[in-house]
Amino acid sequence: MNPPAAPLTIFLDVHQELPDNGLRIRVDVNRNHCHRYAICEQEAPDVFRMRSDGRLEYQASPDPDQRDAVRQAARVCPMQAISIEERR
Amino acid sequence: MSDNDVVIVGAGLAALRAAERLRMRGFAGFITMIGDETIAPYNRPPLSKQMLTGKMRASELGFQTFTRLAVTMRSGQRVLGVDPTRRQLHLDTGEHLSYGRLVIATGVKPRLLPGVPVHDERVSMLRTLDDFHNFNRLLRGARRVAVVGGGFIGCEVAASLRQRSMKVTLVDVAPVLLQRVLGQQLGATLTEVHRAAGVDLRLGTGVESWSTGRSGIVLELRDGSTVRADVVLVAVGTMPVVDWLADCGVDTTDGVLCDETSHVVGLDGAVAAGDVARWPNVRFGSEPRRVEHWINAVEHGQAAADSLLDGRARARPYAPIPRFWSEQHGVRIQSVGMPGIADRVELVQGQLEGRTFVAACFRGDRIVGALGFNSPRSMLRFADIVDEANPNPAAVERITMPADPWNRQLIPHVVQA
Repeated sequence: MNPPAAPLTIFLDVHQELPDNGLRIRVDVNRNHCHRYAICEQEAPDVFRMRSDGRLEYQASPDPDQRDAVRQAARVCPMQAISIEERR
Repeated sequence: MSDNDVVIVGAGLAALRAAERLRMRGFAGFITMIGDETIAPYNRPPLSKQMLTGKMRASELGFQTFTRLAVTMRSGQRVLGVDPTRRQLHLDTGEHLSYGRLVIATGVKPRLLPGVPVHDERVSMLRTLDDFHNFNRLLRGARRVAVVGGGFIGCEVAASLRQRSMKVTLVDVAPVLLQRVLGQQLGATLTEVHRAAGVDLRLGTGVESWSTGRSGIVLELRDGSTVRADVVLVAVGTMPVVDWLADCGVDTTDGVLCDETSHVVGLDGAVAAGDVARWPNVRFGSEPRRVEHWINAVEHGQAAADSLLDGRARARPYAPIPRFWSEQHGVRIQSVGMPGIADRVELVQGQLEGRTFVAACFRGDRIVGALGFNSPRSMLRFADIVDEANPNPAAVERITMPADPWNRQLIPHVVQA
């Protein structure tokens, strides 16, 4: 058995990624691409919701604390229909 | 090259999301990504669907990332071997590339079928964008297409080609389509969907012999019938890309064997992610399995990056509820959990004939997964049910990832240089 590897050195690069306070997020779902699999609702239920008529409802300007969830929704969207813009 | 530099072998979705997660967590060493294709990571699922039906272009296959990746791409290069003692990779360029840590994300490649005239230009496979361009070029001027294989790719291609009003014949040795994934009963339902859409199905039989002539390719089937086609797509499953890991101490029987945290067994400083990785998902027992789903490539890439940063001793098990989707003839097929390990499938909502239903998949008394046709909202609920029925035993001791990973105090074990 190999000895456990030591954790990698982690440096924080604050220029790369800023904390979410003061951040403004814009979400856009391409309606032509979206096939309503509702995977986004699983990732970010406070932002995306499939209505009972099968249509997708979402907040175009979600709260900044939804940033990580919205990003993950965009990453795992089967149709890659979600785009996100983030601004200070 | 220092201990701090990461080499990612593979340049698909798992590789990309691993790189993104490394940077998201502040990893500031070099990241090198090696891929045998000549382009950056791109989205493969549309190749058998929207790209084939002309609804999407190659320029739309890129991925959105949420941090600057600063990755050195070595495109069009292949790793031939690993020297674990020297921590070096041998490349097909003749170079010996040192690594500090390794992410293995080489994915899978199409399985070859014995007897297939692969050198005939009218015979194609479909895994890469190059494959797509080749196949799509062949389709120009073609009228009759034979698809060998009734898995995801074969079924999706058959559906896309019917949308283009082409004559499609699908051959598979299994009696129903997508049998391995859907089982007998739901597979039969999907088979009816394809039949109703005009796909000429030759199931429960295989190709006995191939003959290639000027007027097309003729497949003699074992049931005595023949299929004449201008173009043939062979889609008979996949094989993990592990040949480059021979003789370095890694168990490559059906993929790269990992522990529950995605660390590679027998290779220090290495993790594996995505289609190529075989690991025990502790929610579903101790048996290591591979999961060839697109969403898993995202989540596994991220988890493997976390594991690499945390180190073998501190890493957390990667224990997802796997999810997949497919779309064929307008029917959206979704799955959560591990239907493949179930011993019983029960219709719990809707009707098979209506093409809108959910089936629960049980192993003993426990629900281990659910399969749905055209039922995305219900599948959300079943994802929660499967999650609760198969708890992650490691979750109790789990240090949750801070919502803001940039809060210095919350990052575990920051090592000062």
